[in-house]
Amino acid sequence: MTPLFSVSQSEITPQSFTVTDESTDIPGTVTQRRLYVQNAYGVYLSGDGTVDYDEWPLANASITKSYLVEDTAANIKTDWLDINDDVVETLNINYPLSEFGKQFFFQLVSAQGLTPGIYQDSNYSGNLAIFWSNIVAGDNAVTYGNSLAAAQNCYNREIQMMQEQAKYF
Amino acid sequence: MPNPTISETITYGRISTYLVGNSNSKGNLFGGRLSAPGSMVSIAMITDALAWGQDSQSSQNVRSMANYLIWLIGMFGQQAQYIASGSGGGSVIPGGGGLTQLNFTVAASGTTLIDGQSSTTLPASWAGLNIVVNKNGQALTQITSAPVYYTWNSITRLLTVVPDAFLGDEFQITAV
Repeated sequence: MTPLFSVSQSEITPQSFTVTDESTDIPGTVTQRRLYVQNAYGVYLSGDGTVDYDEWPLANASITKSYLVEDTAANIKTDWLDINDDVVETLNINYPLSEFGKQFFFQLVSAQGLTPGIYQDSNYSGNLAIFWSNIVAGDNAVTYGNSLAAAQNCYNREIQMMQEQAKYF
Repeated sequence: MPNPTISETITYGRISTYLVGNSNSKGNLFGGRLSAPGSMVSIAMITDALAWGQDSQSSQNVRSMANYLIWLIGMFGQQAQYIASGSGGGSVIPGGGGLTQLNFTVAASGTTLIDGQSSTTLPASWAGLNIVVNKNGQALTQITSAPVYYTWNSITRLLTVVPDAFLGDEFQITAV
């Protein structure tokens, strides 16, 4: 089989992301599928505390999970298993899940329309640029550098700016 | 070492954005860094400007801007060159669940490109997207005078690689 999946993140509810199985030629021996999601600190976001994975029934082409609380550089792994719990195929890819910051950025730019003069404030415009570039940098760290740690460092800076938005914006 | 191509420079710019950002945030315990930090904001902006202008502006202007970016990223460019030689991670498309990345090893049959094949039409979900293509861990250029390159038509979704795909080649196609 050729294992493959894609990941999308909701713009409206950024805590939710969807993994879609795009694999081809799945053999008949595969009877179950499991999803693992791990953050840059090695902590499993998936699972229930007893196991590290979420069961992903084969009947469902996609699975949506809603356990993100902030921008997260995540390693997402899918295992395809046989009836004996032996892994037939596995695939893991790092993903930049940064929709919290992107939506906040959109709201900031939208709010400029209410107070157009604010862009003349160099602190505001400078911080806005730094905020934006940290999101871009985090995404690049995963997509080009494949580094969860480097990406989460970038995200943590923009998360802190979001948390202390009264100070920066 | 020859100058990086425009595509390579854009990749180095994207990687340097986070390298510079993370480097600048170090050193807080004993004060700020002593060397003048580069600006991740400038690098991010100029990288995008170069990416957006590479197919529309004169080659002289594009080369000038690429040289400016190479100067701006400085020593981080060398680190970026090393990182770019590895394989990247995935990318996420907000909202709908379209394909964002294809990873495959060329086989005799059943893969996006099969042994000896030079072109393929990607699925409909790739329409309108820009892509980057890595082959065996190396980012490919779109400059057709290069010995190894790819062309991509985002309307017809036709991807062409030169030379032909060969058995065992590892491809990674990412929407950007």
